[in-house]
Amino acid sequence: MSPGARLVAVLGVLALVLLLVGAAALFVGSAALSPGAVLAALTGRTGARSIESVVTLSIRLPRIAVAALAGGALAVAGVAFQALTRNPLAEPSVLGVSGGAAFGVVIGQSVGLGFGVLGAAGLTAFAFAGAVVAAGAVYLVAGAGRLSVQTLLLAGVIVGLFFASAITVVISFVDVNRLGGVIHWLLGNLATIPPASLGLFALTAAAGLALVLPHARELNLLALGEEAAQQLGVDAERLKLQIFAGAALLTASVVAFAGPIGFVGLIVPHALRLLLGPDNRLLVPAAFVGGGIFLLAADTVARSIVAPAELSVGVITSFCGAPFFVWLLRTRYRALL
Amino acid sequence: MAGLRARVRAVEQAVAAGSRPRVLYVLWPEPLIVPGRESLVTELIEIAGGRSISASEGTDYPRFALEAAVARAPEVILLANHSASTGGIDRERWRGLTSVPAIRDGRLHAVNGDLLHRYGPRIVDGLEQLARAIHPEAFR
Repeated sequence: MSPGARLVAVLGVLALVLLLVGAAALFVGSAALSPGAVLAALTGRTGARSIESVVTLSIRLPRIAVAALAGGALAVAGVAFQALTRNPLAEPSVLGVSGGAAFGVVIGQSVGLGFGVLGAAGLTAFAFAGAVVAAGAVYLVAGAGRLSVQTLLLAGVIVGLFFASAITVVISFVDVNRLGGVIHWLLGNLATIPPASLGLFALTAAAGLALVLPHARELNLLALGEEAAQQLGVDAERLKLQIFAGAALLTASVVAFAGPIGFVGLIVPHALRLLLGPDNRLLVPAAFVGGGIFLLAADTVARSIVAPAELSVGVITSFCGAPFFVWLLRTRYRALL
Repeated sequence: MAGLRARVRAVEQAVAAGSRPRVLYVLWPEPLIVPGRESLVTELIEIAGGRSISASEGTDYPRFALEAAVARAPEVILLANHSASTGGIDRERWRGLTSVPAIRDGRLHAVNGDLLHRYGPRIVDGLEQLARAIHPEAFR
């Protein structure tokens, strides 16, 4: 099969799975609607003002969209950080980048940014600044130049812990009424967001994706080493800067709208590499759809397992991700450590 | 003290004849936190002549799914304000849910959480505020 045909086939299958999981998620939730009621709401037979219609179309559907978008963004950020650092275990939360973005959001909230689409735009800017600072700090701590796998991970852990403490400091000083709900948000918490904010989220995630996706071929060359990539005509410095900006933007948008959800950028790219191989031209778009499938499934569990209460989706991804990380470390990447 | 007791009795009498509308009390909008079985606010809503839709939830202040709240079709929604101007209030989010009886009938109110969440004599002020929001017809 030609690479183009393979890409179309893989994306087609993944998109179909995403649609199926999304459709299933519409029927699940604590409101206990019958499948018939959901179908009636979807086909418009209940009237736009019925409870069934509001639950299905105004609460579940936007949340499904947020979950799919956030999962895709995080998975692509994972692929990007892994290619950028040539480290298979790099990922926004492991690298401390999510922690930096979260610190940015908490600062933004404590100066009064909050509800509404303008507030969300401001929070995204704060998150992006935090992500850039954190990633820069990891780079400095690990020592610029060739980064060994363990040095980079250690630097990421240190920076992540630093920002976690910084967040605690802010929470201790700021009126709790400004930061209420922050504990749930820090675990990674998907919620139904208004259409304007959802549009803004989609735009920022698309901008991040647009910085990474066109350079997938060059990322393959970068895997050979920077010098080799240079010799093959890749402007490595410029490429790294673009990928870095894209990954930071993807991470920041998710953190601003859903909180620092961990491990999606690790689980999804690795699962897809096992299935599809390491070619980034296939991996980057596949990770966007695959990440959506994974986080959507995790969120559907999170919002139905303890109904009528809810869990934060980050709890589910961490319960999956932490053992997966250990498994990767003990089996596939033993030789690297 | 006798004065406070008299005011509580006055509230009880004023709402005794009316129906008991379903009340959603929003302690925090995102994630949605509501008063559960053991909480003070649940009891105050009872006395003020309403029924909290989260009155049977297990813990004091449980997290609650938005769609579960909507599905229980609250007839009155009370958004708790916390001291400063910031905090729990997020009216816009609720205004969009036009199929909820409380929103359809324009019965979305802000209440002063400081009077309702803390044990003390001001609770009676809070109770009167609740009763007016739940049974405006009894206090004309």
